[in-house]
Amino acid sequence: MSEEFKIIFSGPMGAGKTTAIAAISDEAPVSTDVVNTDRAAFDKELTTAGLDYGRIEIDAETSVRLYGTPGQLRFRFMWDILGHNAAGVVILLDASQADALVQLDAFVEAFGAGKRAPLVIGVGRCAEPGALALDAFAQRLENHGLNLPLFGVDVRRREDVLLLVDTLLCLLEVSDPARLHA
Amino acid sequence: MRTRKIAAVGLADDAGHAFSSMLKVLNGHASANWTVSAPEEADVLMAGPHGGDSEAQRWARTEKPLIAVYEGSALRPLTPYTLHHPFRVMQLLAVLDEIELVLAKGPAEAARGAAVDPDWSFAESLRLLSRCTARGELHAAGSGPARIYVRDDISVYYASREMCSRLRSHAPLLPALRLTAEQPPAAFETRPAFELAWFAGLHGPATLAPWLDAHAAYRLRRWPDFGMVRATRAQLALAALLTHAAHTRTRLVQLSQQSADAVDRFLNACAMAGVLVGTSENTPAAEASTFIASSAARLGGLIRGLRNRLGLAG
Repeated sequence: MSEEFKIIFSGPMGAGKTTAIAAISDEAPVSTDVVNTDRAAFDKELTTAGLDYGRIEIDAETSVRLYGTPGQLRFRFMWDILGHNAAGVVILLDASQADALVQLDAFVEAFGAGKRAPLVIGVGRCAEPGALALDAFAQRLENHGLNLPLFGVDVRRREDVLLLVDTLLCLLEVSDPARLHA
Repeated sequence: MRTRKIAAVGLADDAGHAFSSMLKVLNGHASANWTVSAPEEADVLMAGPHGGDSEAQRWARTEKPLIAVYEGSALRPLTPYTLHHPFRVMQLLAVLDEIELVLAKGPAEAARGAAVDPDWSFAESLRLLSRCTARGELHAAGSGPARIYVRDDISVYYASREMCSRLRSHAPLLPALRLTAEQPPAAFETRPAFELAWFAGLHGPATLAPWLDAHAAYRLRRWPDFGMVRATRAQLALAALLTHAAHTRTRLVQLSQQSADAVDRFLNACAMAGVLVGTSENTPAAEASTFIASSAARLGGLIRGLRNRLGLAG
């Protein structure tokens, strides 16, 4: 019997979800990009309106589906659908976006704050002028009583995407009650 | 219930008033009764950035707990107990209860810090610097191209490109940091001090740092920025374990199946980076954000398989 797992890549428009999936997917991800009509929110030509989809085949019986959620809040209903039964969630944020901390709250809350599935946060563009420091994101999580993995990343580098995925796997590993109480 | 004394220095007026009010609110709710005292009589010092330098300097030489209060966009101090102004009463309660756990263990902390192995000189001086109030000064260690300069607010350090690279891969033996009037050469790189603190702990002696308790349970207050310091799988696994619950080093060795040296180095690095806190063993470290797998056997296949496929199995 074949088994399929899914890993979700979520975050606001322009945070690099499509790029991250492309970095590790076996094949070029299937994207449902459309012309961005919200250039005020983020100035890029195309944006994901439905979802991105990539896949990693582990063996003939097992595969991992990689889903990128649409970034806009109005598509939140899709986050719930895609996040159901996910093995892990990667949230990508853009430190140069003015409302990045509000987005952190929204996405972390939407995906259960790490209670429903392991959750890792990657923050990009930390070095851009005017960008929020990574510490501001960490402080925000701490204020909410949350201790979630939070790293400064550049998802154009495959090793940074692998760091996020490997962290998810480590969290999954320690979530095994049999192992923890051995 | 024990009564503990806490002093506050360098807080802005509004933070000072808020702190006094909060202490009254906390009476009967915290695991100890907290009363305000002068710094010389206190068990704990709360230090903000608005003065109180001399008290903070004296305090830094003790092993008594320090709560560093920082404001605005300032970087979080690399000390275990911090509050970001404006803080809420529940945040103060959480910090005070954590500190009470440490204080309840007795005066062993001070004894541990007293005799520092010379190999720990640099790390110890950096740790003490992080407990002092910043005065905009530079401290330096080493000589020539191996010289390192550190800002006393522990925000950045300056070193040659070669030295930055050496720090990441192994521990160049450096003496203790000393106050200097020199400015770093223009060719030196400016790097986050978190990186220096992390590697000073990670590549220091392969024993538990003298200021850590070999029998205490520890947990992570927050994850180190592994995007900056490029964690190994072993370090990710240890961080995940310490997020899940508080563990002693013995238990960590057992759970992680890593060597005692590797575990000690990781704990040292986390302590230097100010993200490690002592607590009771088996206390859920972040209950609100802990996921427990219901199908561990299934996930075992996913973990192994995905690591193999992505080249992460090494």
